[in-house]
Amino acid sequence: MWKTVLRRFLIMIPQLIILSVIVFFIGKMMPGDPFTGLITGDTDPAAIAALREKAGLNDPWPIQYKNWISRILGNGDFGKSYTYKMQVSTLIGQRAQNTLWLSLLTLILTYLIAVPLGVYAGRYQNSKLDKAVIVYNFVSYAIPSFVLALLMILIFGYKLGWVPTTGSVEIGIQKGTAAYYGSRFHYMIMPAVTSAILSTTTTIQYLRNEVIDAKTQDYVKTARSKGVPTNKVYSHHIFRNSLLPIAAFFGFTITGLLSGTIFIETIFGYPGMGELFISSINSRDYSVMNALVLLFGVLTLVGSLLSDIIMSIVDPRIRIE
Amino acid sequence: MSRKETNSDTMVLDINEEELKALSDAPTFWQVLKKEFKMDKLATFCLVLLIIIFAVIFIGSAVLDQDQVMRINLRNKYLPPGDEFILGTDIGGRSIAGQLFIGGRNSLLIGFAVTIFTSVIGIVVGLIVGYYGGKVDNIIMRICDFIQVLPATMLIITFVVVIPSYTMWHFILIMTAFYWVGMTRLVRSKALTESRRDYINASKIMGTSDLKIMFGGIFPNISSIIIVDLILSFAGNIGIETGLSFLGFGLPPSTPSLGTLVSYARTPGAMSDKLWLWLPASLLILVMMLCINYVGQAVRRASDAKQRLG
Repeated sequence: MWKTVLRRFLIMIPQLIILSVIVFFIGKMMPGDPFTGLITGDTDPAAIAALREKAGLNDPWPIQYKNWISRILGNGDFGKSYTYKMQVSTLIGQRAQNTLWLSLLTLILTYLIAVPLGVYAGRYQNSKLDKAVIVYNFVSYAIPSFVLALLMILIFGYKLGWVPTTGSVEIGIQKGTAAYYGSRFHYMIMPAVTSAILSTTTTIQYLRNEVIDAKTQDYVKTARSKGVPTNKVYSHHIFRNSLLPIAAFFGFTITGLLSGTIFIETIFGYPGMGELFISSINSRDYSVMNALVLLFGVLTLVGSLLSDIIMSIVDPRIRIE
Repeated sequence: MSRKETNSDTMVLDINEEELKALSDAPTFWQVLKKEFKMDKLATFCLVLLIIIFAVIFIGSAVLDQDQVMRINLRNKYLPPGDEFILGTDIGGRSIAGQLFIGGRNSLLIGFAVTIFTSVIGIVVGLIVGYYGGKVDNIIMRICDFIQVLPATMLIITFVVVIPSYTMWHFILIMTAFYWVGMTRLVRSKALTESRRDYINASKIMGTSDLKIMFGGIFPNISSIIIVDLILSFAGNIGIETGLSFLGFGLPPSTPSLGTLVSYARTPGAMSDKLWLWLPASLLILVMMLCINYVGQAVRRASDAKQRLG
């Protein structure tokens, strides 16, 4: 078990290094450097050149890379944001909280929708409910996220007026009160439902197939002939075995959610990391943008690591020795 | 391909007895496909609808003069749908219907180009590593693993911003660089199992060249699965392109896409009272996605004997 985890960690190290090199070079390709903003009509070019030399921008790139990565690892220093005039790490920290809460709510909603639908569709195969689930699944798989998000805003935000259409909390509410958290939830529910709908597809599909396959297997026949009540066969025997692929997909679900935040947060105007990424690109705030690419890359790698580890816990057969 | 197969079938059948004919006559993939579409009326409907949509978009955009459609005329700013402009106009007084044709054509072409590029790379690389296996296979698969865990959307957006004098071709290449992995993995895993089969061994013993085994032996046998993946990734690529264009990081501003049209939804007032700006493009994307995916699923069923309806 630990051998597998350790091995998986070792695979991740070169991946992390390559990722950081890619991000470093993207940073190098971006026009301008930290001193471009200082240049005015009467700046002495020699002074700028001296500053550049002092900051090590003329060093060969392996040394620059070493300095860059050790600043990040040493004290989380990603540089300063030009637009927000604050440390990138502080800025991302504020936004990360919003994204975290949204993702958590999305995850809960995803499994609340997907698990019952998947199990019931599999259990009552070819019933009306099963057919409805298949249609739902097909549509939620095929629809592009931004189209769904816009239609949701149009219907629930504008036509029905149930939910606010942009932002994360009502302005002017005292922080920390019950009304504050209520309002946060009210603003979060639409983006969360939208991305939950988009991420249920794989879970439902796999759960349904697993349950259908399990129905004819020997262990289920044994349980039935022992006289285990049907409901218990489903809730104990089949459900547990069917959770396997779901567990395996958990890490990837998180990864998918993260990349989905770019669209969802931008469209719903929710101030999280995805929205920060798009706005930092639009304002050419390269240090923020770079830090976010690196962060999302690391999180995605961790997500797939998590998937493999969970998989090796729930299914001992696939452990690497 | 189908003609060649039927010919060889009849040659074999001449030797066999007559009653074996019916039994041993395996239907070709195209015959199965036809049967599947006959059984599934909705799939046939989707296919016909798609053909009509594609034809209208391509003919329409060929007839229309792009410069004239994209010419700004502020007198016609934000006209609601009416006699002169069937679907109204945008902020620059440009006809939404005209942009729908041109944007639709661009989105389809990009989706098509990316699908072709990724598939050619995927098929060639997948066949080679799946057939030879060994060290090369190991290295390529590690690379695939790595690309698959990268945050593709973000990196594409970053590249789009960073590349100087960015054009449509840059966009196609960037997308190809990230999305060739899926097809490679699929072809590789199928080629791996296929290359252990007896007919491949027999072919090897007869001295057939590796290249001929790969493209003449393995490839036709996995082609039906490849076709399914082609259709589904075509839909996927259109979705990705329109999504990125929607955010403003897809096609360059001079080339309108369906995503650009949908992004008008973010202009003030578009949601409450200027629905004509973005809703037609959104619905067009939605209908195309649903139809392509549905056709893809019908073809998938046809390629897998266990799932067939007919």
